[in-house]
Amino acid sequence: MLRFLLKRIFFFLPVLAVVVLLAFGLSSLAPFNPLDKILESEKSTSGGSVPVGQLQKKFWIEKLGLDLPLFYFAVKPLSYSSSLEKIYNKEDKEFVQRLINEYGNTTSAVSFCEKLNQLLVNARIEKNIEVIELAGELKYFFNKDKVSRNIYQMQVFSKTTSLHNDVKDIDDAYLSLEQNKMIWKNYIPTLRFYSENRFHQWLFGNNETDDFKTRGIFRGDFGVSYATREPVIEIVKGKLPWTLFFSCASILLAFVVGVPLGVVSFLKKERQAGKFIDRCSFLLISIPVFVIAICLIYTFANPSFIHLLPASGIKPPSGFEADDGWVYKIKKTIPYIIIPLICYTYSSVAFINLYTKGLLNSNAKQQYMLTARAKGLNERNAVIKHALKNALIPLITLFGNVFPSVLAGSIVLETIFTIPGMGFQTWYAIQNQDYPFITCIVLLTGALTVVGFLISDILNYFIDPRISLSEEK
Amino acid sequence: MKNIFKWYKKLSKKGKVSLCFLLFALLMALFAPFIAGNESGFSLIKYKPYTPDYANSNYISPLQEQFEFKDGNKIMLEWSKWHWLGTNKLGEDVLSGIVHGARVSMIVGFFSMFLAVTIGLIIGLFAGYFGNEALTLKAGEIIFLIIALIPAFFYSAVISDVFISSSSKSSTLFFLFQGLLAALVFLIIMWLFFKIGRLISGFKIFSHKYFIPIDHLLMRATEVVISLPSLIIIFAFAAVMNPSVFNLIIIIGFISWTEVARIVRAETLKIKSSGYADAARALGFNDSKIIFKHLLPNILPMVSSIALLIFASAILSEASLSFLGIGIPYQTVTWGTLLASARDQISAWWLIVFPGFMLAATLMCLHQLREELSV
Repeated sequence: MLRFLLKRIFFFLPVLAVVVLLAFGLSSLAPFNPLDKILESEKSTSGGSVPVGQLQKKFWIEKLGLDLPLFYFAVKPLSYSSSLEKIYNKEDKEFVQRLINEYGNTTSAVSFCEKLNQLLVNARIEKNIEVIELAGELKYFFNKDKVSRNIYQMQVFSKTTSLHNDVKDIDDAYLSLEQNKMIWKNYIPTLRFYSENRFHQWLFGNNETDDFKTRGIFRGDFGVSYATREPVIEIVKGKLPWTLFFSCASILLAFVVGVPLGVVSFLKKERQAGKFIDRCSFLLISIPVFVIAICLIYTFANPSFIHLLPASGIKPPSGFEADDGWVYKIKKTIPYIIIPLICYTYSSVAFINLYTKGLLNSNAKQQYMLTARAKGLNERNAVIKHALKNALIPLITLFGNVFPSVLAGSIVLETIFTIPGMGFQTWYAIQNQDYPFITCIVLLTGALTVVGFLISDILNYFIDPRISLSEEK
Repeated sequence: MKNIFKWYKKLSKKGKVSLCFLLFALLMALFAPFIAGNESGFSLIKYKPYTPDYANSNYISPLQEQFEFKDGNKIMLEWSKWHWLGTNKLGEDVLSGIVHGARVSMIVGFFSMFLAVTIGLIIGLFAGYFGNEALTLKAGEIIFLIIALIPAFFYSAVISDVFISSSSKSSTLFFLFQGLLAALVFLIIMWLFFKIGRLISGFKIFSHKYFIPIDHLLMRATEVVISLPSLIIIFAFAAVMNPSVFNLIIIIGFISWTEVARIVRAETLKIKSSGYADAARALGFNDSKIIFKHLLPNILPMVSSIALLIFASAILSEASLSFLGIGIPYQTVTWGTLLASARDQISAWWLIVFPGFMLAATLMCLHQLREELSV
């Protein structure tokens, strides 16, 4: 048993690895700077009155690992150096990148950019508008041919002021750029390895015991939500119960209703009833869940038509009193659950019904069914006692497949019915570009899928004697 | 042509009906710009899908009276300008939305299917045809192929960088061209290094032969992709990438090729061990000729039923995504967005019934055809 389990776990390791890589790829695909996003949310919570300090910036940069290279290794041009990663200001980065493209020397480019920033800061203090304009032109509208002219003009404008030294520094930096010009370095590929990188930090944390640093996903730290700056794992914990309730209830219901329905439709396949069940199942499988959901809302939760059930939410809008008993609470909640549960379940019921019928069909042609009938069992008993038992094995394997699809369905359904679960939160996160939460969802569903497959394997191990027998050999 | 006619005759009544409906939807998708909102010439429907009609805004039902403003007066709408299937909140025409929505659905469905089938065919053919023992590489070749990865990745990235900076516009066609160019550069570099590796393998140290277990590697990869939670991944990537139909196609195509690969591999193995592949080989045909002349024609019928399933699931994914407002560009009207607009005004039945019917019917017909094909 243990050997079998270890073998299966080993089999699923690559799946987990791919999920982790995909999730990391997702989190690094962000078209915006995560730092800006998180500082923006910080600003909005403080009312926008307190300016964001350098210390705060540094805190988030270290926490998000933005000053590190992306991955363990990278193919980069020879001119590249990892000091480029230390620049996290987007404009500076673009500027340095352009300098590297023109001159092929990272260290000189970085120092040129630093000196230019220094000059800009000092010029703003001095309020020397000409120098600010010229330096700004140098930085934001960089033109290779105009550099020396700009620097000369700056020297003229700053001759008598204290900016003189800064401009001289820039002149030196520009000279070193020109002298160490190595454009060919941009076109030579090199393979670089980094022991400290964002991926490593994301996985294992940054190995420090300070409580403000990240601890890595292996130790349960999925990062901080960009929108609320709460730990993502806390949000998940708060939202999980409803999703778990709906998915477990729907899977259970699907099996409880679907399998007997399949048996009935198989036994009565010549009659109208069986054909009817089949046709309905086929129809229901093809219709998308949100179409059915909206149709149900239109018919049963429509103030101008039949207003039997509430259209959205999971509890009365007025909420519960503190001293309401749980029986009362359940009684009041049930109407809110009915439509969502139908929507969660119907397609799985239809699918399991058709699947069971197909399995029974293929089992009915087996020799053992002939024996069972010859023994004198009537068709019904033969099917239930023999064929169904054998059909159960693939049905249980189905369990692993059903789970992730139910979770994915929950995004649509929870959004329609505004159920405060993971699916609705995912939709919310997508609308707000809250990447850490999306990443966390991908990781969690990946892990849950693997767990689902493992559970179905273990169940199979106990139900199907062929597996355990082949293991013992 | 004769074959197609024969094939059509073999279908059951249901199959014929679904085929006709799908053809109808396809034609609607193809000629959508000419059917609805064609400004330069004749068009059946006078409205573009996302242009508001203020005279008929705020959920006008198809059974209600419709008006237009003329010289400051509100008068009854002309017959030819009628909103046949009602309007939504802004007065956008539902029928026009359905016609143009068919276009988006069919584009996503068809091209993701095309991509998935192409990837699946290539992987399945490689895995099944070469197996674990057919392909051998010498040590020198292996070493040089691995080394070649570095410059190949680098220069294909450089090439696409050069193109990005040289042109400011980024159309889908341009992006495709750029990707193809990068792939070409990649392949050329790999091929060059492979040739060098072959030369080096002449030395005795590098001349040891290794079997490349292509089948094993590719099938493991396929199993991994099968075990991924595909729907969640489609949702997450569609949410994170730029909203565009092209990106949707890429995401869906790259996640749904697995079943094709498995079937193609199984069929290839079966045909490989059959007599006529041996006969072809004995006649002196090379690998590519056997694959294209004998394998593919036998595999394609098997693939077509899976392809229809991918078509249906791609349309379903696109519809759910656009229903949630994820991954499709602003101002694109699809069946999903029409249905979503019904959520704001639940009594607007025409926003539920018509797009819902089109979507459900398309999916149902695809499933029906698949059933007929797989028998």
